[in-house]
Amino acid sequence: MKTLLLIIYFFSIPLLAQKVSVAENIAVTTESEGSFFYPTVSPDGSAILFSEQNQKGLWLKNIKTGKLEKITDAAGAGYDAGFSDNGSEIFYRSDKFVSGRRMSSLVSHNLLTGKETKIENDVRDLKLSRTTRWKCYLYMKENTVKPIPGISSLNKKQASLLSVFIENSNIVLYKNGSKTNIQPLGKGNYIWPSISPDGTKLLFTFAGKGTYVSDLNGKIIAELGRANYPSWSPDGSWIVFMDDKDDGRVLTTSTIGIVKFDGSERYTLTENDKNISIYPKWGNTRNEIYYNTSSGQVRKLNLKYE
Amino acid sequence: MKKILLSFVSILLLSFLNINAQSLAGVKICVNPGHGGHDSNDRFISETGFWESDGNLGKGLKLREILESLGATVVMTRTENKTSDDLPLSQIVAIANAQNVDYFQSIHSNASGGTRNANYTLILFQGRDNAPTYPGSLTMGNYLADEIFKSNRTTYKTVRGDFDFYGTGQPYLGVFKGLNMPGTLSEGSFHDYVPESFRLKNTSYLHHEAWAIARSFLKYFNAGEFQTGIIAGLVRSNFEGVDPSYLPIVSKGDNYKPLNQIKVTLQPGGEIYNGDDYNNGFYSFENVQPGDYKLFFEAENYALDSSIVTVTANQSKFADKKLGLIPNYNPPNVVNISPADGTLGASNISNIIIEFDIRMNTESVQNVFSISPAVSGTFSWENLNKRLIFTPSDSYNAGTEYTVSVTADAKSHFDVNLAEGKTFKFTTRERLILLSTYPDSGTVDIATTVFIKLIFDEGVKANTLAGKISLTDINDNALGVTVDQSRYSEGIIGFEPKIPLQINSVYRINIKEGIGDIENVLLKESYTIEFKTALGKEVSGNFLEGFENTGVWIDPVSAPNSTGINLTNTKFSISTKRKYSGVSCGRLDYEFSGSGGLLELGLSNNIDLGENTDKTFGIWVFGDNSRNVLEYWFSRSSNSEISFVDTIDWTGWDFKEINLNVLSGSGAVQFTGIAVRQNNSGDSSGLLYFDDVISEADIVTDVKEIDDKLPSEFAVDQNYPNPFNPSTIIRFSIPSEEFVQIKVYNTIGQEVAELLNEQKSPGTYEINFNAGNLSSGIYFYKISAGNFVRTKKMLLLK
Repeated sequence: MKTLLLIIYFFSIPLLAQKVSVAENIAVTTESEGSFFYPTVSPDGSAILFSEQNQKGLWLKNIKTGKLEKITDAAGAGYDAGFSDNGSEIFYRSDKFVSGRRMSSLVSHNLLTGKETKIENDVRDLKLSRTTRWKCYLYMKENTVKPIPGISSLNKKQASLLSVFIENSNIVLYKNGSKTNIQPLGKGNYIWPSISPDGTKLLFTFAGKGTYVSDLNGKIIAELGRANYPSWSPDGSWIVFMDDKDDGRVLTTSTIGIVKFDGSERYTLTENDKNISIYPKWGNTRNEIYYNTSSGQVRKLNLKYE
Repeated sequence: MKKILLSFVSILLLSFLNINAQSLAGVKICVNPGHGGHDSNDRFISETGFWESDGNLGKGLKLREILESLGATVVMTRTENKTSDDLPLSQIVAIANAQNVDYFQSIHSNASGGTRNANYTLILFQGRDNAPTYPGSLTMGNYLADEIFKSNRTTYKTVRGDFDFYGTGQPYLGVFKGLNMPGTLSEGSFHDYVPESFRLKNTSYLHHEAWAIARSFLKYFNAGEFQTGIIAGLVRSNFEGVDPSYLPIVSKGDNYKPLNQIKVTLQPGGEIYNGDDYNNGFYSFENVQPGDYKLFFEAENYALDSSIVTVTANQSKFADKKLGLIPNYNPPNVVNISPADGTLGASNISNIIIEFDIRMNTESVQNVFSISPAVSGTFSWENLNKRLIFTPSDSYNAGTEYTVSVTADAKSHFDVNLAEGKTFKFTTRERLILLSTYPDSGTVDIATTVFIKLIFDEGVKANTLAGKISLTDINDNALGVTVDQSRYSEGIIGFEPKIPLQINSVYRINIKEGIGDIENVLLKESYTIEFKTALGKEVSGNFLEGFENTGVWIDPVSAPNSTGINLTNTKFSISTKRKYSGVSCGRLDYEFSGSGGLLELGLSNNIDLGENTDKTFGIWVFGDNSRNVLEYWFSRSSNSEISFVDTIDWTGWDFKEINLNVLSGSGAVQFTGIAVRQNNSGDSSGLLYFDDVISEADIVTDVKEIDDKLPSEFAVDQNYPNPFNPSTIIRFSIPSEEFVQIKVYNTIGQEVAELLNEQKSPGTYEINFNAGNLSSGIYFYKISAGNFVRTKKMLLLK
């Protein structure tokens, strides 16, 4: 019955549904530039940050000039890297393994001067927060949450900062210095958590079960079904995801899709062809989505809403 | 300053390593037991019945146990083997990354896919053979190859980068793509090499590989060595060979037949290992202190033998043994048969089992086995060739007597004839039987949201149901239903109307002959189950809790008074499905683990109901007809008060109320929670929904005018049904507008209920009386309408 209900849920056509289509699908990087993955757009939309397949290194591509700049070769730099809110700094981690143990440094890279500053040096269990789409205000060092120093707007915002991490497989929300452990669907592995732009909702995937939107207490608002690597649109109304499938050994197919945050509308945006499309992120408007192909080409979708 | 800090970190790390020898404290490892779910992504070997996902999980769970005992934090990508455990590769990678682990280990076994005679150890990492993406992967890969190769005693070992192994020159394996830490994938041995496939069905063999992986981790993290060792080995026959189709590797001794049900005793200490029945002959003793030991090997019909072994710390020592046969020249006897001779109503797909007291020459038995009427099937043997199993290719004919025979020409393994032949008969089931229905025929007061349940004596086949079952109204109009197919295999068909039924209306469940079960036996009768829905019920009052938020109710698994429940299958959640009102309701999945179970669904914060107890309190409950008992729990003056509410003998939404004046004591009352108490004759599992906790409830039961013709005189019908439990319907007619009062009295004249007290226009009416709170006995209902007064008797039988 559960299956039946789910099918009905997915295929019901809402009244007054918005139609979304792809106006353009454009290459952002070329084969000669290299293979890049996990694109993230800067706050003003002028540059794209991406990494290698194994999260090693960071590159920045200027959208207007096409200039490609290597930021770092550091291992782990591509994982959860982000910008300061004015886009002038990039925060990333640099990992090394000593006697097998991960030692991470938190690095700030100033895009104007090129200067790099180590905020933390060789610490265990360092995690950057996923406060919003691009902003990195907080990080976690060995189970203690700290603000990233030197951000101009931080003092004003610190009091109400809301961030989400994964700790011991659970979702953990930090707000005003308090910590809330959330297991909306019971015990299991929670991944890809993020907070909606308006700070009222939580998006996450429960491994093996699907992707969900809940309120900040973990009460489920919508079940989005199979929707991996989900993230919020800038206006918080849509969620972009990949629908990737594999044979247990290699990725076999994947498409990019979007779904209304309440699950009411769902569109597939890319073809299931040779260019397997994975790891999508929104641009700085809801009309743009960046993703990479499985061979490492970063591409951009321009969307049209009717 | 930086230098000082760096030195401090280094000193800290070195100190950590020195002080904590044989410790992985502070280390975080992700263990990924590959595949999962016995689905198309899984790997199955039909000759041995081995699923790769089972083997990988057995190794992974043991590895977690060992690593956690060393102080490591272990993140498992799965701990079970359901379809939902077969995670997308991107989710596996995301779990490892999100947990910030130091290392990722994916556990697999390999398959040649064609030759089926390969059995080597392969460790894969991401990168070129000599240029791993993460250097640590190659280091750990070499440790794993050494340890697993020694542990599984495969033919050789190899450590490869996926770029080169698969010849792509670029990342290939999806489980490595995106990892932000070193990782390896171990293919410990080959599961399509039949002798190895049998070994991989042995739990101890899987554990043995887990120990090898754990030793590799100790080396990799420079964290010491185990202070104990392992003794392991294979016990085989010294004269019997395996089926040549196994393509045994002779250099490894796999051409000799492994013995089942072996017994190996370790001295000193007296620890005993009892072998399995999976044709592998494997045994092991874990955590053995270094030193000299003697092993004693036993197997039925084989001569006792022994070996001496010296155990070294942090290693596995092997002591294989080939045992010689001791002949038994006694004539064999048939000691057990199934189905038993003369069985009536035998399963139409049951295997025929014949057990002997001496291991048999299988071919000689199969040659003299017969069944009449003839049935095609296959033979298999268990218990050291003492148990013959005949599996029919198709179901038997329904309602047919079969005769099975084995003549005295059957011979034992030692070439001695059966003492005497054996003949027995059984008769198969003739028809599928409908055991019960909910609602039962003729029942009234059924919820308009009823969940209908039909229970048969055998699992039903979905493809025989088309057009056979319908729900219709009184005019035979079919209604749309949502069907629950999840319990067909148990013979339970559940369905519910897509939209609630009309109140106070008659409906029929139509069941036609021809429904087939999993044994291809048919239902030979048709049934019509007629039931009547309840009158409408509207409840107003103080809404105290609406099951809209998490954290309000404490999961029964964590509640202090819960007892005798299955912790895995019991769960409380807030659900948006099947709500009575608002956005969501409470969903309680439960399973009792034995008898005398109790589920406490407690409140995080008690709800104050005040001191006045002259009021009705209740909750909307979607019943499961489990016949377990529903209770409401209260606290008054620090004393716990438990109030029986009802036996859960309904499905669909119903408001279940009590009067708070049943509570003893004095002072303010607090509502503390709901409980479900196991009725040992009820169902051991169920699913309940709750919505809207209401105090000071005012319950209005619709009185329905049922005839638009005006009656010519006053009349009161006998209540229907009568006797009743717990509801009955009272019909009355009034020819003119009157103030109507209906009251119920017990045998000593006390008023126990007021059913109506209002002005009514001329017409005929029905009113529902629910006596759920009353005890069995005789009651009287009295109707007063103007000058008309009439009293009738009714019988409540609980």
